[in-house]
Amino acid sequence: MRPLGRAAFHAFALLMVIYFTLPMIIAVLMSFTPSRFLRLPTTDYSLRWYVAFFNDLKWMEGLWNSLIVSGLTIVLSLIVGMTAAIAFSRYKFKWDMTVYTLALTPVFTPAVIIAMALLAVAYKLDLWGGYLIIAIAHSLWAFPLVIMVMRVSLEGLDKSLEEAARGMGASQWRTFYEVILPLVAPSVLVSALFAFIISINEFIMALFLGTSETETLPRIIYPTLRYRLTPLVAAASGILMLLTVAVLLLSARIMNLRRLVEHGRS
Amino acid sequence: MTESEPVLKVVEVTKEFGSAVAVNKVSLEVYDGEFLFLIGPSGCGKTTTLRMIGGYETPTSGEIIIRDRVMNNVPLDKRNIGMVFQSYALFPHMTVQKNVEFGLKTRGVRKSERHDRAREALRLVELEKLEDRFPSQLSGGQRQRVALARVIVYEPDILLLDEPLANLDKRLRDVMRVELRKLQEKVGITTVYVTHDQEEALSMADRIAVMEGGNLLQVGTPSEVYNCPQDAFVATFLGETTSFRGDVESVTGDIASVAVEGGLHVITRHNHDVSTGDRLTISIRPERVQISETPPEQVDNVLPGTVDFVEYLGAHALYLIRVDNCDIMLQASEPIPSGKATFSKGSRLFASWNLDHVVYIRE
Amino acid sequence: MATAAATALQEEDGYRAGWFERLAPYYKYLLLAPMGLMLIGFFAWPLLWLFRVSLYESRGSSGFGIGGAKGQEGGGFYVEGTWTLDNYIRIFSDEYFQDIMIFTVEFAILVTIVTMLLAYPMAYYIYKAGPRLKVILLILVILPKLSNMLVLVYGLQILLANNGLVNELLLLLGIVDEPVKLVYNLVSMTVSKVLLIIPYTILVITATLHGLDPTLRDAAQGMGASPAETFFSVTFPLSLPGTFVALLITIVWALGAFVSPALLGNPDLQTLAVEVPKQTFENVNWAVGSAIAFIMLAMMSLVVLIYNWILSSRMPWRA
Repeated sequence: MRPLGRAAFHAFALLMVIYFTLPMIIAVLMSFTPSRFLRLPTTDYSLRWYVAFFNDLKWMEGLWNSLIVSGLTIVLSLIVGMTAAIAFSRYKFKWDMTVYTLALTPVFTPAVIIAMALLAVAYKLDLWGGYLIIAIAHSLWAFPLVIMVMRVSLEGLDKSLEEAARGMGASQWRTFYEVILPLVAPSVLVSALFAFIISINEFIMALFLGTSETETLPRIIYPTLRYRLTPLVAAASGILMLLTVAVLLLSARIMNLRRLVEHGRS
Repeated sequence: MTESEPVLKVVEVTKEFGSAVAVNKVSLEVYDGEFLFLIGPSGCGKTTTLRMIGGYETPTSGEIIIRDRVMNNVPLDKRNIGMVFQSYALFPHMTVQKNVEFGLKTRGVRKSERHDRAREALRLVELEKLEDRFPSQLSGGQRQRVALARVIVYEPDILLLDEPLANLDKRLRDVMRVELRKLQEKVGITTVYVTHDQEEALSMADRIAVMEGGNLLQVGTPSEVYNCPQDAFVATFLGETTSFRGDVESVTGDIASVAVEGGLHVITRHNHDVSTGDRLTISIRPERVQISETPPEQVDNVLPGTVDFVEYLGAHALYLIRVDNCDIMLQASEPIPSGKATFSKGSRLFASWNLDHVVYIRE
Repeated sequence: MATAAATALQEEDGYRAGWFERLAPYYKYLLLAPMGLMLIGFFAWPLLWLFRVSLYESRGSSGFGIGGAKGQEGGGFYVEGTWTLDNYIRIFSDEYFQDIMIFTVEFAILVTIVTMLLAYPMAYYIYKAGPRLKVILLILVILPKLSNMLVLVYGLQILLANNGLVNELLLLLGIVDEPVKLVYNLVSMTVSKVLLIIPYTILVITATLHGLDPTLRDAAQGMGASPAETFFSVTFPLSLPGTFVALLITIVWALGAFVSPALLGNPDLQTLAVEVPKQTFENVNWAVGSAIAFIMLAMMSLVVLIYNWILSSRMPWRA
């Protein structure tokens, strides 16, 4: 590539990085404004909007609801995802690739469709408005990711470890929780974090399936973005970002991202 | 082999990866039409050397010269070299025909000529009927031949082969060995072939270059490196051998007597390059050792011993013999046309060999 | 030790499998059961049910609040026990819905083109980057997907506003004389929708490029191909299958655009996805809401079918 082309390529990548990060940075910066209006802080920074957030019962309830729903989502998606990942990594069966592909389809189904479909069913099953149905909806997006992460991890295990444990007289169940589970524990944690991130940020399904009693944080933000922009929304966004970033840093420590990428090569 | 100017000269080439020296001051000349083997254990630097010749790595120091042109800074696509990869690296999205035409296309050859030459190359490797297949529809041996045809077609200055037979099973490998050698002779292309398989090297090469730990140890014809290794590693790497260490105790004419460990004496012929007190490594090939129940006559070296282990290898048997009164294990092989080994574990026997068959290496 | 081993052997003789062991042949089905339940009970069945609801007669009257208890005459969100195609006929014949449908497809095509044009070069840049930079870039690329899409929308609303950073920059550079309207129109919709999709697109293409055998590139250059020739004759065609997967994901999500038109668009630029909650909650007409959702689903299925056809007929070498 000629030098000019190369420079243009670097410039393009830089612009893309700005495109990816600037909206988030702006949103978080805005939350520290001392002003009553949407004005980016230049010299003064203030936590007044965070104070306002924590003093507002409605927002606090939203945060609490969000945490309950994401907790339920973690439990549900881990149960569903891990059992399936074990089945996919250990057993060969007819149509296993087809079943695997089918298992991943919910991730690629837009939220509006999942939400509308579950709405009618939730109504029939009397689940509408509860935490459970929102968590189930979020799990539809989360468990396929759990399967993907856990499958990579389980298939990366040395098969002979399991055979050795069985050979030494350990039952299948004992082998699983004394040998396999400790070895894949980091991936279990990462799976849980993925589920958490998906659930804490999702709002379309929450919008369809929740009621005012089960309003999650993003669901409260949504109408305010439509009708009135205040720095309080920025603070709420900031708290969501903080939760996500904290969880991300944690998972980055647990699982080396580069290893995950390079796994795809072999 | 024509002893003209070498087509390829590798001059004191060194390659360092960080602080690790992969290739250390290797010099090598390859002549027109020659089939040269680079051989050594994995990690010896043979593949790195090959990749430097091909332009896939840049030497840290030294020069790669092809047809009197220094190639160090010539990008690989301007080198006119044909490389066959261990994985064959056939383009999965192109038919056999398109794969073979690729190198001609990059050289701007016209379409009709491209087509004819590709057909010719495919005929040479006997694949002319499969030109419309995709690589995924071919067998291992067929892929291997496409990989060859694909580079032969544009008549490269040098053909580089990186363990080309390693991915084939044993039977196919033996067939391809003969075919590859025939093809190389027919095309007359200068070839450098990397392998760790000594059998391949001995059976196919014009000359063999043995590498170890980044160093080039010896270059010579198969019989030279097998029969007159100049290095203890060369002796052990090519074929089976038993080695002892010892000191020259006396020299008479072109015959030297060497005292090895355990009070043994070995008599060897030499090229007037040893003197009393020199330290030597003595080695002897198992197939040069004769074994008998009674002491043989008119043989220079005779050692009594006990069979410690018998390895049955079908066409011949390999004995591990514990020599009496010392700590030496000697290997001896015996052709067994009858299909049954003469001796068994614990048998007493005499091992002997001619002094011309002893290989000595000065330390 | 010896006696313990002997005892173990004896036990082996009279070995009786426990209930857990006796289930061994069915383990895989047991392990797949939770997923099966989830996929069938809360995904496949609801999607089928969605179709059923779309065939109910709608209540007609605009509801006051939420439409009453189940089965109650006069309440509910649809008339139970009815079968009708009216909802579909209405959607396809009403100019209002026709416009929305056409715009949904147009918008999806626009978003897909922009996304692919940006994603492929970016993925290639990441592929070519050194190991450290690669990790940093990957994290930056995933970041928008891991953060709340409302946060992104909020940031974009501020950035693209008339007095926002982008307009200030344009004024400063003298490209424009007065602020351009960038928000609540097609520009802000496209910018936001692309940002919401592109992380996945880039990841899929990057993974594809990394999955290519690097010796193929070596071989091409060894045979005399320049870097550009190598890219166009080897790397690019070989990355096509993965790039098509990325394209498929992009189109499907672009068809489902909800946040961008709802928050950064205007009443003239609305999509089917926005219409679903509008019909369902504002007009309390679940039957029409379901019908629209089902039409979206059908559009996406059509895209998947076309993709499968291309895959099987246009890339024979993948067999």
